[in-house]
Amino acid sequence: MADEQRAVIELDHVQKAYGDFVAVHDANFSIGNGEFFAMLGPSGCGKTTTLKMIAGFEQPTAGRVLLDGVDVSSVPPYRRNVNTVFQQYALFPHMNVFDNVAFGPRSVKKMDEARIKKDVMEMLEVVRLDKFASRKPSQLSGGQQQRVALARALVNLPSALLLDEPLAALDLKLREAMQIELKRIQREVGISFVFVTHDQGEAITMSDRIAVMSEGVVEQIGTPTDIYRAPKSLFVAGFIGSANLLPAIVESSAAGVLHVRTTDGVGIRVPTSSTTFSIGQQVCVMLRPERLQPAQAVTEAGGGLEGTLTDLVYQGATARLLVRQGDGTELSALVDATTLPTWVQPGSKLSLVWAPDCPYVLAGWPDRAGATTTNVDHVEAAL
Amino acid sequence: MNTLRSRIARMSLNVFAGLGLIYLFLPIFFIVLFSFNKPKGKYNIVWQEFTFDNWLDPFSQKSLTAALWVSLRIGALATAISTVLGSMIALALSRRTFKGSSAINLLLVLPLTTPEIVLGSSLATLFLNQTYINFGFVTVVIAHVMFQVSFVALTVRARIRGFDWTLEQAAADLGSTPQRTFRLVTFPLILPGVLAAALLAFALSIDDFIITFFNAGSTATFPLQIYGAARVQIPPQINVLASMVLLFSVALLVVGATRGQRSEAAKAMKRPKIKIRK
Repeated sequence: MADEQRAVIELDHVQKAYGDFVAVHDANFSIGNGEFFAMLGPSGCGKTTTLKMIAGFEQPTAGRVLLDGVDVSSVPPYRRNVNTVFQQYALFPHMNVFDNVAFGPRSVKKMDEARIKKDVMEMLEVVRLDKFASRKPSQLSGGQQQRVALARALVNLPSALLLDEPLAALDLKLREAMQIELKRIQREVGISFVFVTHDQGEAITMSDRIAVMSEGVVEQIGTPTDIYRAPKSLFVAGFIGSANLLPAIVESSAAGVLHVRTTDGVGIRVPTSSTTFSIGQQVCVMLRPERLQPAQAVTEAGGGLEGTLTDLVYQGATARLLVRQGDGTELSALVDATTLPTWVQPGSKLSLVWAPDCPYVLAGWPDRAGATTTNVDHVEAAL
Repeated sequence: MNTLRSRIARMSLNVFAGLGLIYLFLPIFFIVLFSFNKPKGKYNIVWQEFTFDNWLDPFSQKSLTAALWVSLRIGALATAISTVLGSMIALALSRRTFKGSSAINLLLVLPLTTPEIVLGSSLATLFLNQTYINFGFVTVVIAHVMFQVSFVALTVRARIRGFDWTLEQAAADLGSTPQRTFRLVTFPLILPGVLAAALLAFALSIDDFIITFFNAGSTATFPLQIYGAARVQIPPQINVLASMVLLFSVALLVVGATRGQRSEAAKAMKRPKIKIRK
């Protein structure tokens, strides 16, 4: 990671529209040298379109795409120094592994075959497939095909490697192994990786920075920790990890502290550095499930949310508590299963409490109060 | 009871299938059989006695041999032209839908559904109304290309349906120019389909009578020659040459089938997406 300051890819107010439908709105960010950058969002959010504009398969309808500081907006893909790993790998079925990997060097560089052979075999060693050089792609497993696709895209030493949901076609075990493998390869070659995924866990475990996208808009860009701790929008709060989102009204604001009252009357003290909230404003309080603890149903100092435990799901080291409040809002808490008090039983009344720095406040009311449905526990585990 | 009944059912199925095959192959069998006949007189239509004479001297009928040679040359040239044109149409139609692609689809089917007699006579009218080319070799080639293009385009398109176009994107992504991508990626993968279409087109050209009849002028192709000669004689060499053409076609089919099994083309087709999510 030599000079992360130097931008390899810059998107300068890039927009892509198909007729009236705008697939990407004003994407404006840059990706540094040697960075592992993820574009994360649900399907149809514009992340793949953005990737295709970087690769050159799509042209932006407004704005510019810069590679190494040069405007490439109208340069065809075969003259751009970026390479792509396709979702279904797109290996050439009539060529063996060696010829697949050598396709790039033979296309662009005027190199002698001896040199090409050396480069290709080196790259096959990096992906640990040097013994499979003469196999056809159809004779390889999914994970091996994936690594051929990686080697083929890396052997040209591109400015950046673009990966379009590269792990989506693999089963869970293999996917986790490939996540580690991808990180290792990225460290080894030191090339920027731009990674498109709909899997928040994948994005969080692998990336240096994440751009969260929704409906063609880049909602937030930041490190995984930043995005998890301080989401900038309700969408990001709900999409990254699971969250309990409670609609509330601002009651008072003092230096660094906001007093809000939820719609069902519980007062919550929220530490915040933001000064943009005004009294009477509709806000949303976010409580992360792993920051909540059960307490016996007497409201303790510092407040708590009371309810009935409807479900207790053991997940190995952790347990998920689902607590239904009086108004029907469901809350979720993720607790250490080994220290769970015995009075925590389904049907029992209890109160969920939290440390003072846990609540986080966002502008606007959520569509649905309570726990978000994305219950992906390895996100919390990864952080 | 049951086993007996199912045995009867299976047997009758076999009998009907056999009858169907006989229906298909009996005429062909007779063509080959009569190439070994030693006819009395000029008409090889009544079985007399077995002989190898005809096969030992297949080219004794000079006009017949010349006509076969004309047919082969026309077939080769017309097939070459129509295979290139038809494959390009198929590629364009498969790659993306564009303005007018549905119209082209319709126009492709039109020559297949139009009666040959209409195609042949209207083409002849077209040729009569110009002064640049006379009826002959060239007009027959043009006529054959006209109907072959449709067959080639439809066959190639059917064979490359499901071709994974991201392979072309991948090649471009790796720095390959469009020309190089076509030469090294697209063409090798669609080649089996193109060859199959070319074989079909060639067979259609050798076989065609009606359209050729209208546009050949004094040029005699193999079918035209046989038709013309049949009024005065039917020499056994017709059967010999026809059997040779038949053998050649069967040989091509066998080669095609055995090679096709090993072909990598099937693997270029997109495999179903397997997505496993938790």
